Amino acid sequence: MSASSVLARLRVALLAGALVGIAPSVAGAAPSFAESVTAWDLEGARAALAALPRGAERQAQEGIVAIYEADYARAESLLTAALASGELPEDAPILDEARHYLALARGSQRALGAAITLRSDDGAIEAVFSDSKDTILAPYLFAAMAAAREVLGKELGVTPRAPIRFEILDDPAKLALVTPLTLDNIYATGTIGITKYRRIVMVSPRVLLYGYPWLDTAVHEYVHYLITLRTRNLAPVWLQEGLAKLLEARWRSPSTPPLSAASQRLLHDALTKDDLVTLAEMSPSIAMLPTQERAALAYAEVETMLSFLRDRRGDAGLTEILDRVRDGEDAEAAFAGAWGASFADFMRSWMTDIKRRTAAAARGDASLRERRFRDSGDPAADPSLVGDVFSHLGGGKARQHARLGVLLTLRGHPRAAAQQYEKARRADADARRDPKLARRLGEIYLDLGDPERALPLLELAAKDDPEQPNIAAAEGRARLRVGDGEGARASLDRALRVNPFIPSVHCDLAELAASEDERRRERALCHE
Amino acid sequence: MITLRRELAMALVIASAGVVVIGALALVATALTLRGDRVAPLAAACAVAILLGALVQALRRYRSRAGGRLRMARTLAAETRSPLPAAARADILGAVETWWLLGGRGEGPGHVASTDLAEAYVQRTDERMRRLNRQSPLPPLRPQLLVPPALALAFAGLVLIPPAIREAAPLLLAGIDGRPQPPPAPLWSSLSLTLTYPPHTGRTPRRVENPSGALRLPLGTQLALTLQPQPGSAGLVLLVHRDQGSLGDPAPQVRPLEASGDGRLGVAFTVESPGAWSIAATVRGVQQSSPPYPLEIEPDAAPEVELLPLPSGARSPSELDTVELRFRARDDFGFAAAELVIARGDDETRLDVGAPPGRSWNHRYRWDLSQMPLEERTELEYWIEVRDNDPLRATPTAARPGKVTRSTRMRLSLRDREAEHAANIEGLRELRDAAVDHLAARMMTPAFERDGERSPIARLDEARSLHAAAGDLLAALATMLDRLAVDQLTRERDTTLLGAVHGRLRPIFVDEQRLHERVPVGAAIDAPGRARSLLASLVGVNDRMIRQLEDEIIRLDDLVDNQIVARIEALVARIEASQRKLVELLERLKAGDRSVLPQIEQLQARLREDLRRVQDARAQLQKEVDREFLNLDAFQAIQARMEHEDLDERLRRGDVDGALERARERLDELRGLRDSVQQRLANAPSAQLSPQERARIKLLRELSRLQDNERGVEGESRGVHQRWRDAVGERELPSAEAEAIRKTASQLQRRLEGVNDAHLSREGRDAVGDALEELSRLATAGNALEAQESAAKLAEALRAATDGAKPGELEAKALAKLRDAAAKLRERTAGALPQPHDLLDGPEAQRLAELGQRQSGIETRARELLELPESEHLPEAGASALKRAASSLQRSAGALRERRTGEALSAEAEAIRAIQEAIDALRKTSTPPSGGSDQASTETERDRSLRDEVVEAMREEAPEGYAEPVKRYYEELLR
Repeated sequence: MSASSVLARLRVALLAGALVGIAPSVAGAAPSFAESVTAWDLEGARAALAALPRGAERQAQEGIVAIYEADYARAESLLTAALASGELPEDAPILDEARHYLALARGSQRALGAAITLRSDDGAIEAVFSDSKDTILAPYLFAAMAAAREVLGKELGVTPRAPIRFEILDDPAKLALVTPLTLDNIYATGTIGITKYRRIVMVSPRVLLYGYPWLDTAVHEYVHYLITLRTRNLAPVWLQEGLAKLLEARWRSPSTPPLSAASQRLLHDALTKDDLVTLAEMSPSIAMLPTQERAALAYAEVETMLSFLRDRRGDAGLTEILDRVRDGEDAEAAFAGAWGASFADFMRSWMTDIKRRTAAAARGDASLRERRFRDSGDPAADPSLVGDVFSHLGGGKARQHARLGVLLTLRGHPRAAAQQYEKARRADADARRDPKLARRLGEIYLDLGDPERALPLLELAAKDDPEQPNIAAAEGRARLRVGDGEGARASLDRALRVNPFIPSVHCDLAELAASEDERRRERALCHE
Repeated sequence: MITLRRELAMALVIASAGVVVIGALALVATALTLRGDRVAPLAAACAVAILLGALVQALRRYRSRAGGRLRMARTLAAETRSPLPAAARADILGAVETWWLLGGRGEGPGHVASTDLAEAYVQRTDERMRRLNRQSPLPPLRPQLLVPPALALAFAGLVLIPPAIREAAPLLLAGIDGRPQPPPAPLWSSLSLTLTYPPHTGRTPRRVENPSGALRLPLGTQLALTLQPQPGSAGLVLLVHRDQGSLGDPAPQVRPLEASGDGRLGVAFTVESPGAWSIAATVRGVQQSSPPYPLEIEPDAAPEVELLPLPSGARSPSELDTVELRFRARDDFGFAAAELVIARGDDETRLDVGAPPGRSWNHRYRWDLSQMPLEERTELEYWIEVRDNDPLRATPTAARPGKVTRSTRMRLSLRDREAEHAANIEGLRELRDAAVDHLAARMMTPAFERDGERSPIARLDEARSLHAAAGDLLAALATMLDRLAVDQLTRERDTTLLGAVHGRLRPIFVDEQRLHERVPVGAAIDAPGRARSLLASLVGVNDRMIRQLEDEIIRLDDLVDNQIVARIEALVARIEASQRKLVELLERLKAGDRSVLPQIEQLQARLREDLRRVQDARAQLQKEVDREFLNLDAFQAIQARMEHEDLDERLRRGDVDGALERARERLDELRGLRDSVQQRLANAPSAQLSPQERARIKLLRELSRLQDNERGVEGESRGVHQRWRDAVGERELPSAEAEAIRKTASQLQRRLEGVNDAHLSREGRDAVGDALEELSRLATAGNALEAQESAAKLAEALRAATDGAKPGELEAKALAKLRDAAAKLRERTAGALPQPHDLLDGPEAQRLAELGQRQSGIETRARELLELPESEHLPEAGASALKRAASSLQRSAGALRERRTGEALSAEAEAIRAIQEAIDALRKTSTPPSGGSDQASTETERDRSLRDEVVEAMREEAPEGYAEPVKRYYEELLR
């Protein structure tokens, strides 16, 4: 996801560098066209263009600028004309560049089709949906981005003047049309979001069975967007990803959520065994690391490194690094500058600190929960719920009654099933604490109109799997039924952040709506 | 009167007669000599001479007879044929003589005494003669009298004259020389033709010295002509005439002969149609041509194929069976391909049945139905289609060259036992669901609620309904028992278990029935007290029934799940085998053998079908409440990804490497996951397995691992061996060697055909068939590698054939001798090629050394297995197979170290077979799980053992994509 976006950005940088074949200009000199395009500085690019004589090369470069302006039709026209003229030098990078961008212009038009464009009220966000079904994402996206703009603007010291363009695609395969990634790359890495060509391209959560944390992903990509602007696209992968991970939840939480127990354990083990992913290994992309475990470790490393720096030196430390990188300083040197000592010194301090902080998690048994890009192809499947998930209960009566509960539920006997689940909970203390059993029983009680009995059970389940949108939706409903409006909204927001296409969530949100507009909107999405 | 005309006419008649005679003589002479050119002028001269002679004679005669009045009168007087009377003629003579004397002309016949008298006599005679003026003094000429004899003569001549005379007439009339033309002087002193036949004929080149007649050749034969020209000839060209069989045959192709080093001239051409060839040259300034030498085309007939019907017992196989098809094929020049065509409705599938050797082929093809996507109770049509190696297309629109012949169409009805078993599993599920429903009904029934609003009578009715439902449940159990009893894929212990369930529920049902019998239906209407009393009694039975159902439902659930898991395991094993086969086929495709594409397609379809079955089976394990919200639009994206990653799609894109890599990954996944499961099964501390079962599973796992390791070594050995094959694949046998091998092969073939294979085992007969097939190949072998491989297969087949004969019998002795001869032939063919140890060096030698080391490790492990305490559970047949495997592994290790890759491969294949035999033997010893029905009441309260965990794992995620269903099954288990 984000790793892929870094890869994509890196490729663009390399491509742009190849285009001009020169190093970034020294401070003070006017940036070249390629430098400006790489840094998404379209004004600078246009200024550089003005100095060029009219001709195919200038036409091609105007086409490239049109891509960055998301004017794909004009870009196609200009690039086609430039290539058709035959005046582009055969061995010059501009020829390959023109071909690449022409394919991109055509691919983007194909991917978006008859797209629907919506703008936020403040005009700061422009969301383009390739499928009208996905327009329901717009209000939640605008709200999240408004919060993110404000929070991250302060945090990173940059607020884009131009509207941020989001393109929401209805098929992961379409990413191959709008990026240099192949379908194999996309399927192998599970790419669902890319920040590239001065826009954020994401896949709709609608086309993943259970959705994904799409709002956090949007903000994650937005952080990449800001860093690119702030550093003129000179930040290395580890710095980009570290900041994006650190800040992706800031729009909804003043503090960064703690590192998961599994990640802490990974980090602690790696520190102990001296098996950290080096910063060099993270380049050109974290997505290219051999396993998801290594990738998770890399994310944990860079996130905690930046978190540690911020804790010790404050937010200014982060912006200072970005500025130094923008000015051409090596990222590690910039980091050391912000730290106030050598980079090696920083690493020693960070390692000592993180080893101490992760020691407790290392003693636990948390294991990494791998995020699957695509879930099962079976419509009746849900990893969290499908089948008799009580094998972990071991043997004995609790297990037997839990199994009977499942069978009775399947045959449409909820009351009998509830009795069996209760028998199971009475039979064994572990069963009483079991979140899966709690979820089953809680949902039955909720269906049977007994939210008071359902709520504690669903809370238990949600605590175990807070990212599960269906549990969050059920918890939200239970809270609503018992009169806990605020709690219900929090739960429903949690469901929305992952899968806003669950109809019941909108039914409940309609009841909680603060305004008539919101109620009308939510009711329109409620299809129970 | 004597007239010149008359004389001339007479002369003409005589001359004509003379001419006829001369003509006849000339004809005879011409017939004898055929020299019309000579005889004609001679005859003409003779004729003219005769004519002239006759004329001269006529003139002379005329002069002598009519040369003056006196001569004429005398002639007249002497003419007896004259119509004039003799006295008149005498008077005329007298008068003329008198007139003569009177005129004093020379010397006359006498003298005249009286002139007047004489004159008067003359006068009177003259007057008298004048009166006779109208009468011709000579008889008239009658030439018409000659016409009939002349015509008769001509007719006789036409009829009777011999044909030779008649044929001579034109020669004579035309004045030509009728003798046959002498052959032109040859343009060369020696000529040789080298005939290089097209490759598909399989004929060796032939040399013809100084050909004299027509040549009959297959189309496409190349003729290389060399000749020694006669001195003085120049500008030699070859003319190739083509017979088109239509108007306007094209002009001949003209090719100049070119000089070769030895002073000879040469040219080559390819025979593309019937026609003729000739040589033209300028000899001493004269253009000369050799006679044309005809070229005739030897036709390439369509092949013949005969498919033998299946034995009656094999005509309705199961979809898991293999059927053996036998067919014979013949062709005049050989075959290009042979395919098994399978038709289901409009769908046709083609399977390559091997490369036919030579010109006749008796072949057995083992048709593995388990590798085909077959639906339940399918009826198939199948036939063999052979294509000859004619490089021309049978019709201009034909997709491939060659002529195709189809055998008779045969039909095959399939039984899908697997599907029948699946239906029984579904029936078991329904039974379990019925039990669950009944449990729910009993748990939630208001029948025993004393405080309820319902009357005792209504509650009793409810209780009776429950009882009736229990009866239905027991009846359904009994029906299911009957069905399972005839299901070949259901284990007996499962049927026993179901019977035990029935046996435990029935006493409770009977007790309940006895209680109900206390109050017959309708008896409680007026006696609610009896109803209440009965209900009170029934409460206890109902509770017993609930408790028993709680236990039995778990057992039924286990039974269903176990059956499904067993089915999935069988399917997974099949998928693994299919996947392995797929990898092999893809490797062949990668090596350029496109003939495997239909098989790949077939196998893919079969894999998809099996995966669909796995998915269905997994869906039967699903126990989920259908309340979860899913983004259904996601399926399109999932579908797109699956299609992108699909092997077919990769092949369609031409990405063979990618497809092969993907197939290998899947195979590795299957192997690794199966191994993990077996390990888990064997090691699981909580597993409720008997020590015997645990030992058996451990041994099974070890054997599987051993086999996998050996397959890995075999695959790598094959790769190295293939490099050697690539290096030597193009080498041809020396012609003398090829001839000797052919001769030996023919001798062996004759000897082998003399063996009575009816006295052999079935395997022995099959091996004889294989040996004959290899001998056919050897009889036409020209390639050294092919000869070597055929000889090796021959030796192997004869070894198997010898094993199939009863020791001591004649056949055994004969086959043993043949086996030894085949071994010598193998050695001989091996000598024609550099062996792997000669060619494989450097990194390949290093690789082989490593493989040898690995192989030794596997061998050691195999021997260790035999020493393990668990090996006591290995039946004797299995132990024996494992010992054989160890010996083969040892042989293979040695061969690998010595870089004898062919032998190594053979030993490896044997080792894999032997290990499989050991596995099969071990599987047959499967025992029922510990814990009999006596302990059943407590069984459900214990951990359900690892099998439960497997089952639970199976219930997790549904399959996704190709290998996903299987992968998830194991993957989740391992978490």
